[in-house]
Amino acid sequence: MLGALAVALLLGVWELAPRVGWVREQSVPPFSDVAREAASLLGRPEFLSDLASSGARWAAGFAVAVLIGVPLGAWMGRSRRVRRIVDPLLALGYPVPKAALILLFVLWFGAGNVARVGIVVTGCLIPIVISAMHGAAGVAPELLWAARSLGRRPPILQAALPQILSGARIAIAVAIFTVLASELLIRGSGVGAYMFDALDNGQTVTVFAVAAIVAGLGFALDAAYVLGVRRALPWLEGEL
Amino acid sequence: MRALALVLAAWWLASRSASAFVLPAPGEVADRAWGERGALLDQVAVTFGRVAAAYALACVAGVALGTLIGRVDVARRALRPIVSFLFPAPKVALYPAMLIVLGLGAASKIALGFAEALFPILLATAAGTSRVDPRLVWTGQALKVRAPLLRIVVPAALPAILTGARIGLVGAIVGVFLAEMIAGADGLGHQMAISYRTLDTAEMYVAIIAVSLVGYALDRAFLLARRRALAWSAEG
Repeated sequence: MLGALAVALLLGVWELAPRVGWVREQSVPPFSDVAREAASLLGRPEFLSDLASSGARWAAGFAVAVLIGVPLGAWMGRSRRVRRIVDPLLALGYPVPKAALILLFVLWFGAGNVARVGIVVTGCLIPIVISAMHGAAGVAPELLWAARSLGRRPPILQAALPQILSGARIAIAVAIFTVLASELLIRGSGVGAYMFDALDNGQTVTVFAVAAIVAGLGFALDAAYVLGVRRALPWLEGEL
Repeated sequence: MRALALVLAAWWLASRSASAFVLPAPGEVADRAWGERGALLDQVAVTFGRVAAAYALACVAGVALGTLIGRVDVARRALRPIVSFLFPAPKVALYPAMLIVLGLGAASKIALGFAEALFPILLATAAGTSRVDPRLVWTGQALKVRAPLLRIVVPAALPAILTGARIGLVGAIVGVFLAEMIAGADGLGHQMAISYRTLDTAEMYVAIIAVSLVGYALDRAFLLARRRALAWSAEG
């Protein structure tokens, strides 16, 4: 109730400020204009095709990062030697701004999808590897003993799952950020390119509308992920 | 240290089989940086100043809002929907709007760094302050401590706050550098974008290594400061 009121207040101020003249309408268009533009954008085929190509890059980058990051992190969690080798490399890579690597990727791989997807993988890898590592390192020894006495493979991945899922949630948001950043530096196609082209052409309402759509999609993806995990794994306890 | 040597060795080996245009040798890049050290330090100072401003603002706003959300019921119910909407939203999508509103100068770069750094700090503070041992708060009430949020709740939640603050620090660096790359007249990000456009590839490596060093130094300094600030707790 109170939350809805605060949201309504925020949108009301956004609507009124340009109309009353607190801010210039050319720089901050009122909310209703932005909403109308967003609705019309979602009906334009060229915008939808940009949205689809961004979505494909997002999904490809995220999937590759999970396929590499989860086994690597789990291996680091179980083997002290692997951890001793990879951990310092991660610490070295941690403060490097990943988005800054985009132009180097273009230099190495050309201005195509390999560079765009590669930067998404690079951005997602650290949260996934680190969460998988902590998850695998924290597996209860009782589980390992039980598996050994039964002659089964130890259920490392199953036991590490809650932490892997938390890391994947962070990676989902990181992947959206890196997709947009890569598309604004490698124009051509994608939502990021669409938005920055609109900025260059001075179409302020379109800029705000695309930003609103992307923010809404980010929120929807995150909410859908949390809901999906809760549905699929009802035994999962605590925050995701 | 060994990791750094490993990376440098791999780089050197790779540079022998790649063209100097795509991957110059480490020594070449170092020569380049040394030759222009005066100008490079100016750019480092510009970017560093923006990162510091964005990060300081994000720490103040994040701890203040996070404490309100963690401790004050009205604030939590009012701000939760807005925060949970903005947290997963890619902040770079808001950068064009920031450019339109704040202009091409330093303010829009600081704004993107701020937006990237804010939410990890805010959410960690909200989680940490909501879990403060109630006996500490009761003791404060009994002793009539003034400003109990500031003097009891925030210090008690410091381990959690600093975990978020470390993530936020990298966010501030990424935000400022990216903003400088997109639109700017100075700073390391601008230097990277310009050298890409003029195909001065060695210079690109200088810029990215310089910003990584800034990030590495800030992260190390942060960890040192955290150890001192948390000397009293189990994590210190």
